[in-house]
Amino acid sequence: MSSGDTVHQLFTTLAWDDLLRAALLLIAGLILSRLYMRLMRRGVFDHMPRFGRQLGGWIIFGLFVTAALHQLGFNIGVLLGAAGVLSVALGFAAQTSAANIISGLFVLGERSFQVGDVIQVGNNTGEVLSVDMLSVKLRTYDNRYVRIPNETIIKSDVVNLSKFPIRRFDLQISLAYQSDISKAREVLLQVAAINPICLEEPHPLVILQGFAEGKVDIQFSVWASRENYFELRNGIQEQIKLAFDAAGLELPTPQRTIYLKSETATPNPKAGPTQHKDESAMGNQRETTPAGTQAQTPSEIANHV
Amino acid sequence: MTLSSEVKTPLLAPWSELAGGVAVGTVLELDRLTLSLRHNADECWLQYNHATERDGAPQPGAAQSVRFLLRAADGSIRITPQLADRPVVTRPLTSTELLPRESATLLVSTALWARVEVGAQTLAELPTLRPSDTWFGANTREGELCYASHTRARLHMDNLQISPFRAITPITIRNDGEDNLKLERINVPVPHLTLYCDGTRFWTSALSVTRSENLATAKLHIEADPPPRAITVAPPRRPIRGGVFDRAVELLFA
Repeated sequence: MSSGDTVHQLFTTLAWDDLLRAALLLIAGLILSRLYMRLMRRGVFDHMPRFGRQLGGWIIFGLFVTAALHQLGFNIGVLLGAAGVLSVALGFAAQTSAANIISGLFVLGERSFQVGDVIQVGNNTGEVLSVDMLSVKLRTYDNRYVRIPNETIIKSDVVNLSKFPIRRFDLQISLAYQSDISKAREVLLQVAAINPICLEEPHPLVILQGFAEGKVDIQFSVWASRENYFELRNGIQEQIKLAFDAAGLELPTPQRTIYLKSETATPNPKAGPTQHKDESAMGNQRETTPAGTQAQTPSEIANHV
Repeated sequence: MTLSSEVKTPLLAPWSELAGGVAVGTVLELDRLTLSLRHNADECWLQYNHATERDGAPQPGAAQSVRFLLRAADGSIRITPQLADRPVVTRPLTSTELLPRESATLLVSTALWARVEVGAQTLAELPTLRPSDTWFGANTREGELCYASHTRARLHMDNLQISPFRAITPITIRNDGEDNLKLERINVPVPHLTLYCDGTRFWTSALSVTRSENLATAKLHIEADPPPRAITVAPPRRPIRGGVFDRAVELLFA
């Protein structure tokens, strides 16, 4: 039997009222799914990601299509079986896409972020534009459009910068060894106190991190509301520099101390043998210069030439 | 009775003159706020800055300028006092505790805001003293953004300084709990309060807080009646029906 005969037989065996019912079911499904998606865009559901809204609409439409096919006399059991086999075949063919779709469901269910939040994934930080079936779209601060597959989101560390209403800014500061640490602490806390967007509570923290090469490392942690975070971050560093200058506190510049071995040192006729031995062991501190510019004596320069 | 430009009010200087109208080109100093205004038929310039305190002395901050376009503005520029737009968390300068089954009335003051109006339009609301922001809540995830203030939590009027740029809130606290109630910080729900003036001071609605026996919640009541001989200067920004609400103790004191 040719395919034309099959179609002809289908239409001759079908009752017109069945066709009409099936058509009505399809139209009703289309209208209801559209209504559902429109409803989800409004009111309390407007924050829901687009993928979530669309998924419900597709399910509704799919149910009505199934009912319409049943009305036309198709065996739904056979159709579902075929759909299952097709799903397996498609699953093998489109493993990556399927993984992204499944990951998308987990992303939605987990509610780690929503449209409008600012998130950081890997090296990308930006505002979430949409959470779709396969990927999450970001707009970065330098106005780039970044598409991140849902599977990557699931596998990566995602930092939501908009989750909580306040944020902490940690500033690493180095002080010269000769600077007074307690005075520096006092100046830093005073800078925080006079800055109105720096939160009084949680209290600003000054943490002595340790002693490094030629400097003392300090962490200064201050809090701000999420909206004022970047203003605080930009402004407070300048205020600290001005306050340190006014208080006579010195920020260290990289320094390198060079010791010369005894054989290059000029013998001191007045120094006894013991002193000369000490200089050989300890080295002879000659000059302190910024890093990378090693001072050299004329004799050393001559040797290099 | 509410404040209007037609009614002669017992407002304190300089508000009494400013509420009637401000001359164009005037430079005003309201506590730490410096404000200058220029006004044409269809536009208005507002320039302001807040002095910041450095080395104990106020120093001028960065000036900000805004230009407003209006349709043929009717009436002059008026400046009226308002209460802050966020709750104010005030910290007693010395640690204070209320003993069990005792009550006390503390007097705390908060900075006033200046509302600049042309006709029926509000151009800006600026604090006369820009308080520092602070966070008030059980943790850094839940709470609310407030302004920070410090108070001596005086018990008697005689000890209070009179300032035309601050409003006094009487807070009666009753401790029905079995242990001391530490008053390290007090959250004054300023946006829910009415601003009054009795001709010598600005007042807000009085508050009474009762810490319940179960220690977890406190009932906060906002008095509806104004202080004696006081008129209403500004209604609450966010009125509460009935003037009573229950809050967790940690949302009022900490």
